Amino acid sequence: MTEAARASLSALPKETHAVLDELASALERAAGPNLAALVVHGSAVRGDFEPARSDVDVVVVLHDSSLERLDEVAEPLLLARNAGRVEAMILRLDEIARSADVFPVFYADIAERHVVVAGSARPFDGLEIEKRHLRLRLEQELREHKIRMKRAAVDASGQPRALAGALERKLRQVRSPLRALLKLKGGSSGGPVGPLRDPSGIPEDRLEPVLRAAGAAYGVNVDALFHIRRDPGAAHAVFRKLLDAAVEDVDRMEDAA
Amino acid sequence: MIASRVDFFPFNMESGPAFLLFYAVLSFAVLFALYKAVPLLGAMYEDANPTYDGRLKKGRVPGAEEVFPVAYLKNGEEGVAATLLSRALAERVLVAGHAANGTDTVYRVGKLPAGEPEAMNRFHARLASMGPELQPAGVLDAAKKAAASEKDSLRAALSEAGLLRSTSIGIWLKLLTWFVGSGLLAVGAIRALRGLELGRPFTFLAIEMFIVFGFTNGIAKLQKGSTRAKDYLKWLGDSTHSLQADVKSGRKASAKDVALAVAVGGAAIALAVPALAGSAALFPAPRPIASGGGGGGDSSSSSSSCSSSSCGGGGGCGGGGGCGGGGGCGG
Repeated sequence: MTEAARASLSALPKETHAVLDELASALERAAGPNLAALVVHGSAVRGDFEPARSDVDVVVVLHDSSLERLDEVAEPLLLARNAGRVEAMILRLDEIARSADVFPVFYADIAERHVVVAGSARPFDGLEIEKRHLRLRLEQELREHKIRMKRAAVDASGQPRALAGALERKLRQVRSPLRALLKLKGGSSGGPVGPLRDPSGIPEDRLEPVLRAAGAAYGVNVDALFHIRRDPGAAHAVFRKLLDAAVEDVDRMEDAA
Repeated sequence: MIASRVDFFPFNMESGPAFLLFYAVLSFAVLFALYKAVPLLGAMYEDANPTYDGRLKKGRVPGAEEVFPVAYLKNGEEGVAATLLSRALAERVLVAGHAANGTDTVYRVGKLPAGEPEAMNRFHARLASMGPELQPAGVLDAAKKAAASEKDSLRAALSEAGLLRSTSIGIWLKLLTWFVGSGLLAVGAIRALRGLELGRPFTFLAIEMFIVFGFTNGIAKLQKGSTRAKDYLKWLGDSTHSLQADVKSGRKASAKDVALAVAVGGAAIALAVPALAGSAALFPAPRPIASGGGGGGDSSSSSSSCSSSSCGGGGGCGGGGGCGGGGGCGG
């Protein structure tokens, strides 16, 4: 791991650092030149990593992902998963740019903040995300969250604590698409199509700032979302209102395009 | 007569605390060296298998088949039974329900998915032959019998991996320990006899000799399991630290993860798994631990001698809210 990467991950606990260090070395040994990059993203680089709860999200980028080459990286990845909750996604270098149309939210997240801890490729640097792809994916995700939340509410019927738990999980899941939506809104000054440029004024990539910014954008008072356990019913109503407004907004963008 | 024959150092030291101190320091130094050296000797003479290329070695995560030898190595047949049960429950091959009276817990046997480990296939066949509704005691008994029937094949796997110590090596190490310990005891005994002959008290010396005997016995007992196995189990415990915590908290609940965590951590892990909370009767408290690691070490001992993806919300790549979902869950 380079000194720069080490410094970028310095907020991680010592044990997590050691697991990542070992993973980087083991992958370099096992995959050799086939390892294009080992990219850390998510909470480990955002700064809101919680040792007892957070995964260490990594992307292993390979040049060749045939079964034999995957076998080579299997052991280090299994060890890192069991020892330090490292959850890996494996991508082939040449498919990243081509799949940016279908994974725009995920890739935009990584592109914005990541650390390369092994390998010489920089697959997410300068990756262009098309606004129309991002809009479509956001509408799909937000609508899906709405559908799933309804199901969760049915499953938790008459159980306020279960509803609160489902809401807390769902809030964490919508953080990323909501932030991407705010980014899309802010970055659409050049029209609804074309590459996404980072606009200014995008909230910090943590749950509370994102929810507050989304609430402000759609005129929804989100205070109840920070006291879910106190009144799950009220929090659910606010969440539904926020999600409805976001879906309507992203849907309208299609018309504009 | 004895006094004249051993009229040399250290036996002819003045009576008093000087000899007691000398004997204490000598005993501590020798026993400490013995405690450190005997395991190293054991490791040197254990049957290592340099050509072994399986998953039962440091640096490799045990696969679905290997969790059972690991469980045996860690906790003997009880560990194997707990691993079989926890895997069956996590896989929903064994499903808890209520008996006709509405209160008693009974278990029903579900279908075994394809590709299960051989030991699970045999355990499932055993359960399926017992009838449609099984009492907890019957299930536990079946698991114990299944574990006992797996013993030979598990020992063979461990032996191939070089993780079992042969009986003869264990005996030699115990003999060596007692040989050295006896030397220390002999020094004390000669001095005590000399004191007896000269009419001097030797109560404190006798107490020291008793302590030396106790420590020698303890070191000899430690030579039960394979040094390599203890080292391997320590590595495996460290390597699955996060997995065990995640299985205990219910964060990871796949049969593969649960089985590995229980194999390494024992029934205590199974008791902590939220999804297995209703099946505490199947995981009785483990028997007291006698020594630190290497349950299958001594060939004469049978058991218990020792101790969603990060892709974002729900599903894998491309699935609803999968990779496109962005960010990590919980993080």
